[in-house]
Amino acid sequence: MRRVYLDNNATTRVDPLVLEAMSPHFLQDFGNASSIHEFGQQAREAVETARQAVADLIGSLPKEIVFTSGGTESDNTAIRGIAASHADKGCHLITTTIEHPAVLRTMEQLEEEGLQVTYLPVDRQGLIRLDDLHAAVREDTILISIMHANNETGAIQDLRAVGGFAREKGILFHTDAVQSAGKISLDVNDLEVDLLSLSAHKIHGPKGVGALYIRHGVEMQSLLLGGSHERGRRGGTENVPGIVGLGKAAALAREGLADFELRVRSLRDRLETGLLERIPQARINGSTLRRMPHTTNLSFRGVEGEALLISLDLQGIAVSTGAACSSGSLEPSHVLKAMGFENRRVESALRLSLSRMTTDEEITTALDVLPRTIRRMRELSPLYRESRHRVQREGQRAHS
Amino acid sequence: MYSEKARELIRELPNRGSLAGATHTARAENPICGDITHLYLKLHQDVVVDSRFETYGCPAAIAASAAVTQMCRNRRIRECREITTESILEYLGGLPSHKLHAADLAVDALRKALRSNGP
Repeated sequence: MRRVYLDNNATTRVDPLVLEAMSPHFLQDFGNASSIHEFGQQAREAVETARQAVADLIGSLPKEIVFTSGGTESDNTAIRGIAASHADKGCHLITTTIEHPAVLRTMEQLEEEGLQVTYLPVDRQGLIRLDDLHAAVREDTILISIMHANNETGAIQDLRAVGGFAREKGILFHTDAVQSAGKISLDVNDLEVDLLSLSAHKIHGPKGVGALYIRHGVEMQSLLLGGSHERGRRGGTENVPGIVGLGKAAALAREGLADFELRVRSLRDRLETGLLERIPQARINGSTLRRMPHTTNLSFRGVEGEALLISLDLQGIAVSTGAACSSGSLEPSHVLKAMGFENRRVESALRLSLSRMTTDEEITTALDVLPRTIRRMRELSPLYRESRHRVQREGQRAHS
Repeated sequence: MYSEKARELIRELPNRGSLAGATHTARAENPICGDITHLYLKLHQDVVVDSRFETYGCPAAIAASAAVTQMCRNRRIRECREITTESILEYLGGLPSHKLHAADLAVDALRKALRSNGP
């Protein structure tokens, strides 16, 4: 069976060049980057080379990069660190309803601890309205945390506008750029971002490593206490192989940005257009104008997403859904719900996400298998039959 | 996550579709998760000689519906009434713990169909 991987927003295949770069740091150059002997100094050099590569990817200084265990730790550190360090200035934070759980759960915990959080709504395109942000700001607002690109829809927020506004108001601005860093061009100075989270495994690097950009001069507490690693901003022996992997992945991603924009976008568009042409009553969820080039989120009326996911998986195609039926209740995607879609549309949503390793053949296979599978599942679906009859009746009424 | 038997049923979808000449039918719905099952039975005297299903829902709901159509076929009404959530789970080789309600939906559809008076 030909396997097709279209779930790259969940994780990506490690680039062989990344694996090759990491490999010596397990058996040969295995030193602790804090040690002063040669083993340690080789490790330190490798870590600093990686730091430069990550800094180059987002237009920062190397000293502004702190390595972490991944996007979740970066988000937690940024939000909790600022909340703790700026408690004397205020207790209000602003975020959105469509953030990753790494941000939402952290915000909720801060609320339990007595801080106040405003969750900005989004429109049906999955985008915040700047007016809402302007209205939410208070005298005691200390942090705005708004994701760059959404993991489910690929919708891209206007961070330049947010960053400019935050700077003008003197409020720190964090963005979760886990889904965008290394895929589209971004520059922390251009966006006027103060803190930015990114992750290696979304850009063909290893799992368990990420980075947090902290603008020089921004004071914040460390989440992990221990040694003076990472300039005292994150305790714990550096994960040297992982950091080297992140550095290599960042360098490769930077070299491939133009290709990603052109080739991956063209593959995504071919997939999306092909599916819309072949499958009636299919709809795109979210903005098509401000959107990542590799993501599409589609709802197919009358087909339950998880059932479709398993049917596709049985045919070798890996995708992701927008909702999960669990313990007798539906847990719909908080993102699609926040965009105002009704349950049936949310539960029939499928996310297809490509990477620079996605091939033309994979798209051809997906365009062959998906329409066939959806047609078969609709034959099985009383909901689709009922909706088709309703459409036919309405059509007949319109004619008579 | 899903047993080999459940995966086989989801892949093959045996007994799918409506049934012309069905003598007993039922629609069952889980009002919370929104899964819907239509069950069609054709009885000759008191034996189920044919059975079909249509289901909108998660993979577990589809597998449980397919299972119940297989389990009740060529069985007497009395035997069909003995099909329970547990026996469906046993037939399927289990379901993920958070999906057990899917077997309840299939049993609900079967019992309603057996009580019904034709399509």
